[in-house]
Amino acid sequence: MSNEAAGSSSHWEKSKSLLYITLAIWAIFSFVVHWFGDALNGEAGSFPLGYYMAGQGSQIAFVILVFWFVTRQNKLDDEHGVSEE
Amino acid sequence: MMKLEGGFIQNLGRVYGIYTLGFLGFVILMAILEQAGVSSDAIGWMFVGFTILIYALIGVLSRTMQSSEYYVAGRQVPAVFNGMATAADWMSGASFIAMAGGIYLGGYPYMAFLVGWTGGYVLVASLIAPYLRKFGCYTVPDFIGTRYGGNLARLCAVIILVVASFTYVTAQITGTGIVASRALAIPFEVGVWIGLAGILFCSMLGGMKAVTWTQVAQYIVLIIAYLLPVFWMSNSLDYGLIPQFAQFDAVLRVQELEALHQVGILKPTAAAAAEAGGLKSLSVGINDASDTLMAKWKFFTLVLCMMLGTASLPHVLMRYFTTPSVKAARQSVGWSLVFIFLLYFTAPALATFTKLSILDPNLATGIIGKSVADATALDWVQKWSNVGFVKIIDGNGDGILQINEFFMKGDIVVLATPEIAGLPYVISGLVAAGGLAAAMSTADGLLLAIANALSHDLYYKIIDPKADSKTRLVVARILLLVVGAAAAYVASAKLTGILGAVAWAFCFANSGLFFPLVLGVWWKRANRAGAVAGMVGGFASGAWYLYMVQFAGMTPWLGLDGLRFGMIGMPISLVLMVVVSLMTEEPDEETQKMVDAIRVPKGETVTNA
Repeated sequence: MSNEAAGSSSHWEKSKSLLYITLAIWAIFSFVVHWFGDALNGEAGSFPLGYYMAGQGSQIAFVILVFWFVTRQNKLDDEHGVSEE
Repeated sequence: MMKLEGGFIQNLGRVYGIYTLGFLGFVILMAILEQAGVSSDAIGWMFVGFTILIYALIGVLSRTMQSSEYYVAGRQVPAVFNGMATAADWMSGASFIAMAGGIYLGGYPYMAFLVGWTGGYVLVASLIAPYLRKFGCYTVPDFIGTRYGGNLARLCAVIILVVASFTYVTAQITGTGIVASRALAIPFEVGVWIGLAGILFCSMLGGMKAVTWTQVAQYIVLIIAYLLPVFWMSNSLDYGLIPQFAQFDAVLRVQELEALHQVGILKPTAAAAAEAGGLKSLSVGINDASDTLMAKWKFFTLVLCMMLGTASLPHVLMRYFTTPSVKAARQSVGWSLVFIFLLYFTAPALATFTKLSILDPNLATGIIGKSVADATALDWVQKWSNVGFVKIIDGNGDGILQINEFFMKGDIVVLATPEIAGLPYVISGLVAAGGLAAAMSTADGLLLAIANALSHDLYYKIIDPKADSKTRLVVARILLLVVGAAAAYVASAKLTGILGAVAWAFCFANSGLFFPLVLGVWWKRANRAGAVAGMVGGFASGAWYLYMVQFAGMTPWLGLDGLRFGMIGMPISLVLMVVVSLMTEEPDEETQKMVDAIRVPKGETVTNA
């Protein structure tokens, strides 16, 4: 019983760390990148990177981030023996 | 019946594969009929009629008398299919019809919606959805009511849910009415009630189970309808095979054309602007990411409001109650985002190619810089002028159409693009069916969220806890009918514009529900008094601010307009919830154990409602 409690509390600590990393990456692609949208656009005629990030780049980053998070969290659950089945 | 049901779940891939092929076959058949000389009115009728019939059929076949099927689709929807259903549930008439037009007219700042409405799913996956699935509730207020205890907390959550979702659903039923009235050539008010009838057929008999399987079918229709014209245009304009990747050369070309046509420099005359009414001429560059602090702040706050709203809108969260496991719920969030992404990363491409078609004088479709007489003679200009979506006013009387003399409603970017680009009418019919699917699927999810909260949380949990499951299901269906009729009434009275109301729903949800939901999982110390203070304080302050800015003429603080009132509600909700929780007793041991239990996927669900 005490083992199980210790196991699940370290599981929660690690889950929290994973959450913080996920949220940090999320914040970069949600806010930081677009704060510098004008700078990313660069000179007239060069690739419109600011436009790209708002219209597509950040969305791709979010898709990858969610699947990365899900894989890590599932692995974490397995390692601590708290996953279903 | 159970055995058949299992068979259905095992064969989902095949069933929807055949459905997709059947739909494509239907589109080809319509194309052949068009070539054979069948009128465009008849083709519009068949597109709308055939798809509504299919959805209604799925709804009737999925009828059920079991409460777990009615409320959570029997918790057996696989992750990928729940992802499709969520995408249809999520992408509303506004996403489908209004978004590309918003980008067309609004340029870079408008793309904050794209970022906000996708990035919110990172929060759904990491902060909330898997934990609510483990909790095992039927509705979102069910979680609030059980985690914090007491009828007051539950009631607050029900009220916020109803306000946010009702604001949203009237916009969807309005969208349904617009598309149905265009395609069927009937008055808008009649279109609204026909749309509602279709929506209720999908949800009344089978609840969440029926809504799930119609939403998957609706997703397939809407994504085909959205992607096909854009692929066609990109290839016929010779920009490349994949429009989403080819659009950036077109953006640069549009910027050259904007300089040529003096976009942003030429403004409509006051008289012309007044005559144009709600229609707008293009006055913002495609990629004017401003370097001012205010512009950056507005982008940031809109993204934040839409994201936290995404993570607290009950009709989205409840979709993750239907998966077989916590693991599947998590994966399902990823799939939802993939299916949403397919449409959202196409919207800017559609806006760009449409702009190119209209602005480029070298193209046959280009009208700006050419003669007014030629432009007004075009079929699509006449057709959409007749219904008040397009207006040409030669302000300086020189007989040449300048950029500040062409007025339009953003919605035509999706609705009229097939005609602008010279595609056959069958594509317009397809787009109408797609818009209808998008508005209907979202309306279904929202109506069900409202009616379920009223029947499960208000009627069963608060008013009559002894009600048997048969009575509860009857009450649930009556409420669905009543709420649907109320929403259709408001829509037919034209009390809302599509997008204003949609953004409000996100701010109502994030002001009232975001922190009580998230802290309910992530902060054990959060208690009933704190949650109630957070819900009431956040919701009331947000609603007050919206009223003051939108209706009482108050100057917005720091540029926070009616789309961003969550920036007032959210911080107040957070501070109140934390302070009041800390000032009052910590939750009892039973509650703490409940929180421990939802933090691990293993084990039984917490409630068995």
